[in-house]
Amino acid sequence: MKYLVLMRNAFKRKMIYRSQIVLELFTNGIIYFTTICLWTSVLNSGADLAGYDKNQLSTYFLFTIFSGILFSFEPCFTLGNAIQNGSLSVTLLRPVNYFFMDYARQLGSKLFYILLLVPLILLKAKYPLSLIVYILSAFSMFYAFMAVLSLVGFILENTWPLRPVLSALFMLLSGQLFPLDILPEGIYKTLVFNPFSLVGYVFSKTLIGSFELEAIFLYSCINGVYFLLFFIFFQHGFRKLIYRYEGVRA
Amino acid sequence: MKKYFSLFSVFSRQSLKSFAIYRATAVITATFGVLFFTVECILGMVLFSLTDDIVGYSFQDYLLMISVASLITYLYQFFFASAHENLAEVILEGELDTVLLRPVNSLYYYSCFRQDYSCIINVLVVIPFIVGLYIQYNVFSIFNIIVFLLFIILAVLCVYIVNQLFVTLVFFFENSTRLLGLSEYLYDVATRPIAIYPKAIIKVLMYVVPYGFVTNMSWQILIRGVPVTAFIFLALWDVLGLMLANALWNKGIKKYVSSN
Repeated sequence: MKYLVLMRNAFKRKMIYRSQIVLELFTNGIIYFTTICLWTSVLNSGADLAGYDKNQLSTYFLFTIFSGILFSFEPCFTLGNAIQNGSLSVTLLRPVNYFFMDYARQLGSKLFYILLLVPLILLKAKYPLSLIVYILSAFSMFYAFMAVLSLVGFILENTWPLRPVLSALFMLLSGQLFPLDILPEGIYKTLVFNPFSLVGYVFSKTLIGSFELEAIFLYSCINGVYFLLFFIFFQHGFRKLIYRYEGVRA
Repeated sequence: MKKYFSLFSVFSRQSLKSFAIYRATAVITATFGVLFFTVECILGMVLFSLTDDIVGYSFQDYLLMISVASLITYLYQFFFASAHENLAEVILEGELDTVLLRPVNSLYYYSCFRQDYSCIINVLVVIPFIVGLYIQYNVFSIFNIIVFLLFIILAVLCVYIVNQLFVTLVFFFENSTRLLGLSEYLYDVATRPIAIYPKAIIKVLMYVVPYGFVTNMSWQILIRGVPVTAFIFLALWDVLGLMLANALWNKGIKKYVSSN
């Protein structure tokens, strides 16, 4: 119950800053526009993109860029910030599990965007329920991934360098710059199962409807396995690293 | 006039000392510049593995364009980034007083106060790249190179002016620091062969906010030389822009109330 309250509060907090949501959608809209212009001119110059035509490319990039908004790097930095300003002390006193507390907060703050997707899924998708399952599994997997990375906040004083690195990795590996399946077969098969691609390329293709039920099920299971691994790693790491925390500035 | 030059040498010395102290941060910042440049190059490689020609640009043209555009960005960041990024904070903390009390043009003093020497690393990385690409074109003209360097100076000033105009809004509206990010997005939008965009966007990016003009013309000047009109256009735009920036800055200062 307490986690639902956390989620609701995070949702309300996000909805107060409506202008920020508008600005976020606007800047990503610009990125979408430039990506489409670039790829249209590539197509017009006669390139053959393994089964992609203009409409499919447009929808693909729409969802990939949307995934950049939906799956964020924030959880990677909340722990580090809490350690730096000492607010972790207060958080530790609460009868909540840190991992699930932050998970509820993240889910709450992204709930608006998830709710944007749901009507689209229910109306147009072939397998709506499996899509919703996939989205939730991808969200959980990426959150757990960011949580594991956030443990570095116990060791380093400044975690900000991680942000550009994650940005660059996300651009390259998630299929946000180019659809991953135009890469050579061998490279594609290695890259498609990395966490970034699962929330970018696979997310987008699932929403478009390029995958059959078995494939969606397979990817959801992979998300589940990642989630379990990251979760166990986080719990173990958190318990070990918490002894380094000194509560400075608390 | 002489005091402006001697002031600048003092700023340089202080900036170098600051760079020497925060070495780790400087190296990390430099790494990221190179990181994003690499990502752009990889995108270029993928795009040109599919086609030989995008709106008349070859792979070499595309690489040269993004290299020169990056050079302009790194030079801008070297000279002016720390001033622009901190203005909102400086106003809130009341640190603008020391700038305004000096008997020099306050816009000059504030903008040139700090140079970010970590960006020099980025400049040093991208220059061999440009030279390597230039050699492949097999055209060598000292005149073009000199005009190119002059054009780069005008280009850096242009980027400075646009960012300065955005940043001066902080005097008038709170919470407008995000607009600086918008200016960076605009530059990224412009770092593409401009012909991929619809006509309206091309007109805006060429004549209103000449980022497109800067990114698309600069590499061509190096290879093919410049029509004089282009050079004069950017010079005029810069002069008018500087006058506008100065006027807006002075208006903003009148609104400024010291919190000391």
